Amino acid sequence: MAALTYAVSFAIRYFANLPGDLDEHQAFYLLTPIAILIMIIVFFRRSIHTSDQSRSSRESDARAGGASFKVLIKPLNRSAVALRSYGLSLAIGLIPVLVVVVKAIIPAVTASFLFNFGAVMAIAAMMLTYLNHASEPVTISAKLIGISLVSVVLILGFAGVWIYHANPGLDEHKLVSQLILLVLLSSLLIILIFPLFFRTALLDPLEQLSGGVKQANEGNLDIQVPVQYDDEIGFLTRSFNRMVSTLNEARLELKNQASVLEQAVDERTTELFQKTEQLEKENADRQNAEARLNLQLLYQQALAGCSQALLVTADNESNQQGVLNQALEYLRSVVQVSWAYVIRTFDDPEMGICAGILAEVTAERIFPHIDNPANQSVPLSRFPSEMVKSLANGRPYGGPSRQVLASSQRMLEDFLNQKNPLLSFICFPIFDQDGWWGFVGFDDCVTEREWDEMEISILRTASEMIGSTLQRWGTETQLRETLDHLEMRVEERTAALSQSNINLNEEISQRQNAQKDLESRLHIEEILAAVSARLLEPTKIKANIAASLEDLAKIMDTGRIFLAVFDSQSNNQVREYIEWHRSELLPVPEDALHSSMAYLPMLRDRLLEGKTIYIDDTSQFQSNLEIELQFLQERNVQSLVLLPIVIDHKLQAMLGCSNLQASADAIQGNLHTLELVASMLKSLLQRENLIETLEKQVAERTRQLTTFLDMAMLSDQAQDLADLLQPTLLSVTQIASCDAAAIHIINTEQSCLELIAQRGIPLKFIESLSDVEIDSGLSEWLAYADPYEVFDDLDSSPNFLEPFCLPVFGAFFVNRLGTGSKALGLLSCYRVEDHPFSPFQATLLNSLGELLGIIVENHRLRIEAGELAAVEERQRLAREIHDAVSQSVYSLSLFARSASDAFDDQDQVKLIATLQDIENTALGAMREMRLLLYQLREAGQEEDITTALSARFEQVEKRLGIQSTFEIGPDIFLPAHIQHELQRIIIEALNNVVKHASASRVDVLISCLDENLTVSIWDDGIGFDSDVRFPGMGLMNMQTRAGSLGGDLDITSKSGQGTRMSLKVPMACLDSEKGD
Amino acid sequence: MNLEIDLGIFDLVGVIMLVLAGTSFIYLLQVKNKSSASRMLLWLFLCVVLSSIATILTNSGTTWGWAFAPSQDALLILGGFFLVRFAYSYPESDQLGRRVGLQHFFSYFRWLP
Repeated sequence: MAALTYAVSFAIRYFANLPGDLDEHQAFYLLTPIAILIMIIVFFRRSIHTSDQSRSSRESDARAGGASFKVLIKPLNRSAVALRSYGLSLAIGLIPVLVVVVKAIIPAVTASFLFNFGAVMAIAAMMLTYLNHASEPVTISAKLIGISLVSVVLILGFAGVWIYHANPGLDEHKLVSQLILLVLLSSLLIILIFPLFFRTALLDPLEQLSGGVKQANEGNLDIQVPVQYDDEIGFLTRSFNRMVSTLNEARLELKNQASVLEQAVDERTTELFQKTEQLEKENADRQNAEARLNLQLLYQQALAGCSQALLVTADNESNQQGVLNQALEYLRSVVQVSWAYVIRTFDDPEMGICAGILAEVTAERIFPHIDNPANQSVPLSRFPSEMVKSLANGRPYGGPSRQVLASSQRMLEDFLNQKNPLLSFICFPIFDQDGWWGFVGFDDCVTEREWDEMEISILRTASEMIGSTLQRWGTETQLRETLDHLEMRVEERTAALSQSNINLNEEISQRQNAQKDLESRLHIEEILAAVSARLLEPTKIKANIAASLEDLAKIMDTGRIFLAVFDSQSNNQVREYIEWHRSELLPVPEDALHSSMAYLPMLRDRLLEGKTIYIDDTSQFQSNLEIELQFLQERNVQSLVLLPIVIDHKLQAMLGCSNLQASADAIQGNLHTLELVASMLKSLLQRENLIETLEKQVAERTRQLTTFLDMAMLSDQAQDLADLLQPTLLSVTQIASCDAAAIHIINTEQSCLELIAQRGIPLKFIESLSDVEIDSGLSEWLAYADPYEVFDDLDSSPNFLEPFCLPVFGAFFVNRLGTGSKALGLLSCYRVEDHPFSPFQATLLNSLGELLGIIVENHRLRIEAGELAAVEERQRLAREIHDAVSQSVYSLSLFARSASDAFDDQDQVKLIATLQDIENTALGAMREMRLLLYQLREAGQEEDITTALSARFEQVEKRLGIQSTFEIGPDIFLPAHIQHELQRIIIEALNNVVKHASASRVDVLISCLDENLTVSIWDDGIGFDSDVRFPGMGLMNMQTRAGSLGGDLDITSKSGQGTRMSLKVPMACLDSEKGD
Repeated sequence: MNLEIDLGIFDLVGVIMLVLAGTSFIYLLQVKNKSSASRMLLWLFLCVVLSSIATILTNSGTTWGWAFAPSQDALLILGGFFLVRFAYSYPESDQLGRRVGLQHFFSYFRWLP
């Protein structure tokens, strides 16, 4: 409204020439794009909202912000599409705004073009959107005209604007006038002419086709729509015509099939009528049969009721009559008679065979007969003879009275003249094991009926059932009497069995108690077996004893059970205490443990005697010392059992338990159990003592063997013999438990025994023992007698041993030292106490003597070997000095003489050459000396290869001015003996370099390459022809050593080009060497 | 009043808009049983027709034609009002949506004094 007001006011001001800035409306133009923008937003929101209505509420809830734009891109219904299309159409209207914004960066022609036609295109788009999505039906003609109009007008408009901007010089007014005219004419042409064309080419054929479809729908399948044009509509029309023809043919075929079906239906209808008549007839037959079946069913039900009634047991006549009446009532009601009865026959002494009513039932208003005494005893002679005869022969008798009793008119009249006239009757005989018993009769006082077969059959069956029942009752009466008799017998037997049962129960109870006792004993035996097995285990002894005590406590029901092991030195001291006690009891304090036996002297004395102590009530305990009672009461000991474990007359341990809660009867059993366990523990302690003794002996043997080993190791040490033997005496005195010992060695030169070492010998006897002359007796004993002698009394020793018998000692042992039959000396051992050497100790000392002999002999041989080695070394050095240094010195003397001669001859050239030779020879001699000194120092040194070669270079090559290097790979670790072999090969090679190569540099490298250990030695010396073989031993030694390692030695050299020696040893060979 | 007309290129644009909007207006006018949405569109195209006439007049080169310059946009804005009404009437009237839309629209200007 504001915009309109402003527009109107602007126009008024303009026409009225009122003052004001007429260009102010330029800003007003901004309202249009803002309004368009708002409208676009409204349409897009409406599109999203319309899409949301198509979705379920759950999907709408799940829709997040991003989902709105998804439904805007893919609308979910036609309305949303339309609203989005309207919004997009409006968006085209924003093109002028964008043109204003980007005018500066696009060509002016394009900007003007877009600006002019943005709004036009928006209106055109709106128009087309309406034609596509209008709420009302829009014809195809309108749509075609709309799109045509928009296309033509826009093309003309675009063309005009394009021409205008492309040709600035044109007359704008003229051009626009022509274009406007063209637009108007085109529009009129499209609006007026196009509908006519579309009607003829499109709408009319479609209308005809639509009319044909309509008629076909109404049932006119004979219609054929004319085809006007051969285009898509024409194809559609032909297809429609073919479809209609096909439908028409199908309809005719259906008609034919319908007539055939009608004929078949008529035939089936006739057949159905015949079947229906047959079925009606069968139905009538079935109804008759059903009536008979119903009657039979009634009879069967009555018979069943009768049978059920008769199955009841009746033990007296009254009950029997009631049962018969009930059964007769079933029969009477079903056959609808007036009177049903059972009549029995019996032999009357006066009237002969008579008949009497046993039971009867009557219909209403029928007079009963059973109460009349006259009817209880009627002679059979009063019955018709045919009736009696027939019944006695087992045949029924009956029918209408007028027919049956025609021969007995009087009886007939009596029957008919009764209060209830008997019009028809029928009787069925009853037999028992004795013959004819009576009969069952049915009288009809209402109708004079003929009894049909079904009635006769059912009544005969019922009569037989009544007869059977009467027989059963007779049998039951007999059985009841028999049963009474049997019951009496059973009661008598039951009383006797009850008495036997009581006796058996008593016996079973006794056996159960015995079984319980047995099970209890078995349980105890099992636990004792487990305890025994546990105590036999060699390990975890304390834990096993504790577990065993716990088991014992469970079977003995005691509060505390314990085992106290006493110290072997003092019986009062507890060495080990193991106990189990109930949780409510406190453990025994340690002080009480160690002093308990001191507190309980009387108990201790009894236990020492090996007696078991059992105190069932400590409050009644009679003790000589009040302290014992007080001790027990303070520890809440109410009852006490103590069992001693005595081994070798010593109280080793005590097994005890307190507060036994078992019954008095079980106490003896528990005491027996405790004694058994005590015996097991005794065995255990004995075993422990034995093991302890064995361990001590093993330790002693170990110590002795250690002594032997130490002495054997001493034998390898090259020391003075006195220093070697002196330490052994300490071991000898310890092993032999002797107080003194001495070792003499035979001095062959002075023919005496020389004191080499002694221990514990008093000083005053040392001088006399230092040199003992070997007389004939001693010499003979040393050569031929037993290896050792033991003397318990020194006075009993032979004379030749008298120098060795020292009076301060009580026992004496002498042993000859030697190897084989060769005597080397004497070992003497002494004891102060008069306690003889045992045979074992004597044997042990003899072994020590033999070992000492070996040590002495080894010492002698080592000295001799050393002397021999020194001689050989001196000889070798002499050879070396003679071969090397002496020759050089002799050459020096010859060169000196030659130099002197040259000097005398004034031959300067010869003098210089000779001096040069002297220098070379002196250098060679010096090299030889260096090597000799190095070899002297090298002997006896065991070093790794790196250290050895470094020392070598330091001592030889460096002092001779030869530059030398040594390198070994970082991952190479070689055993000592292989290092030694390699070292010998390298040293030999270096010696050759020093001696022969005149080199200024030598390099040694040990590396590992391709599974080979490689040793390379280079020098830059004068070299030699490698094809020439040299006779020296050095090269041969190197090849021999290389072969021993499994390697290959290769030497390459040329004269003047140095020498290279290479040794390759496969690593596999070195590994096997390591393994070896 | 100067009646001499000097047609410019914007007159061509106005004529084209006039043809398109006028044709649509006439078509909608002859539609029977128009829905409320179609009625709103009818008014829209009428406003566009008038705006096109105003454009033609404004650019006719006459001295008095410039008086209708603001009317072009004013009529288009008026047409926009009917277009918004159309948006809330298509495909059927949605007064609740319209009310909510208006609340949203005016909530944008709540910062104004």
